[in-house]
Amino acid sequence: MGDGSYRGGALNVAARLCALAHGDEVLVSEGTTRLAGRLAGLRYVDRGLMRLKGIDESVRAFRVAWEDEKDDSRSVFMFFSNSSRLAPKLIAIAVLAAAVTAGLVVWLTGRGTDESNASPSGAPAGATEQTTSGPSGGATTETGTTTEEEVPARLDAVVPSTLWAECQVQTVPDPNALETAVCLPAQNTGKFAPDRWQVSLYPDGKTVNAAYDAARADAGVRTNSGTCSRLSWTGETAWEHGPGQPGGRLFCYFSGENAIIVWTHRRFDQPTHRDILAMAMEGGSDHARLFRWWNPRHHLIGKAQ
Amino acid sequence: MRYSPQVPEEGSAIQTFLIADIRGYTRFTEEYGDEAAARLAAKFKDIIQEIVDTRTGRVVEIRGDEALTVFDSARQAIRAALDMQRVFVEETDADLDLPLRVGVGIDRARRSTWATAPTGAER
Repeated sequence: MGDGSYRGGALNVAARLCALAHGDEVLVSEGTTRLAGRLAGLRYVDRGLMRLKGIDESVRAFRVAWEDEKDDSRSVFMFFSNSSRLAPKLIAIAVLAAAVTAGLVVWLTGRGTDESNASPSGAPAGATEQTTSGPSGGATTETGTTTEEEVPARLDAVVPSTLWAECQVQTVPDPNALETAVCLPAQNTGKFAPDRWQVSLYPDGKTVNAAYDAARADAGVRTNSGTCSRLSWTGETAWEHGPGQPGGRLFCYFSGENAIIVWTHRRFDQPTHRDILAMAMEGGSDHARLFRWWNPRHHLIGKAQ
Repeated sequence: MRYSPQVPEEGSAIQTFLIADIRGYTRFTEEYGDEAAARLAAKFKDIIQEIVDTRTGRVVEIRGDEALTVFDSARQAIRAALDMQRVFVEETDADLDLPLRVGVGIDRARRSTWATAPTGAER
């Protein structure tokens, strides 16, 4: 396994899957899905065994999809669904697939919290579709009980370390907040960073929503109005982790030359999340780059990594 | 594409590769010219770099319309891929002149089996 052919193969599989992926699609090897385990809000859709050029053994590939995303005709079940004569066989296959899926999910979820212990050479997956749901990194038992530990109520637990390095916890937090940090990214590094951003941790959804509404009212931005994007910069709306998966709300506006974005990242009973309110400011009115900075960081700030 | 990555040695025993590729880049270049293609590639590079940094991965190499990145965490690699696709779609919606339709492939390997990889995929 340590020879050059395997080394080439390791990269080859990713490259071949990339070549096979449609635009806007993510294909992962089976080994990668085992290593990653369950991921909140995502599911793995089986694309079947694939013969890849330059790879001796067939590789089972999965498309990564949002949990609520409608599947397409690539599903094996769709392949059988037009033949009533195959109904008994389909039921048998479905039962078998469900059994295998159950076993696989238990197997996967038991490993999901510790990638370093995962082996790339486990039992093959027979499931047509592995659906992942619930909190990221969660270990769900056969009875469906979530055993994941709750992330502590501290900002450093829910801000990625690379971002947290920019932050300083304030002696006095914002009103009703448990903790507030002000973050001053290094400037002139060749990469865009806002002039300043800050984040506050709140005890629950009610208080964080109240703080958000107060900030929105101060800024004079109406709820469900306008647009925050690269091209437009005044508005308020909800944001989602994925289709049908609420993440929080955001509003954006100009204050003089400052482009400002304010957002919540809500816990919504997820043990890996906390209720936070954050703000980022760009002094040069460059809202396009501020928006790009914000996206995808808003998914990360407020969630244990 | 032929990779000869000089990948850092530090990190965990198992690493996850993420390879991304702009679909239709050659045709885009033929139709809209080198300047537009360069802007598309620059936009692609910025997004990849930004997201990989945020997801604590490393960009090993970006060559025009293709990117090779590596992560210590398979979870972060998959999350990064979804982040990328979300941003690519948003950026394409915002500027239809620079369409970013990107395919992504992900695989993992033990470090000892690839850290000195002399060659990679040929397409």
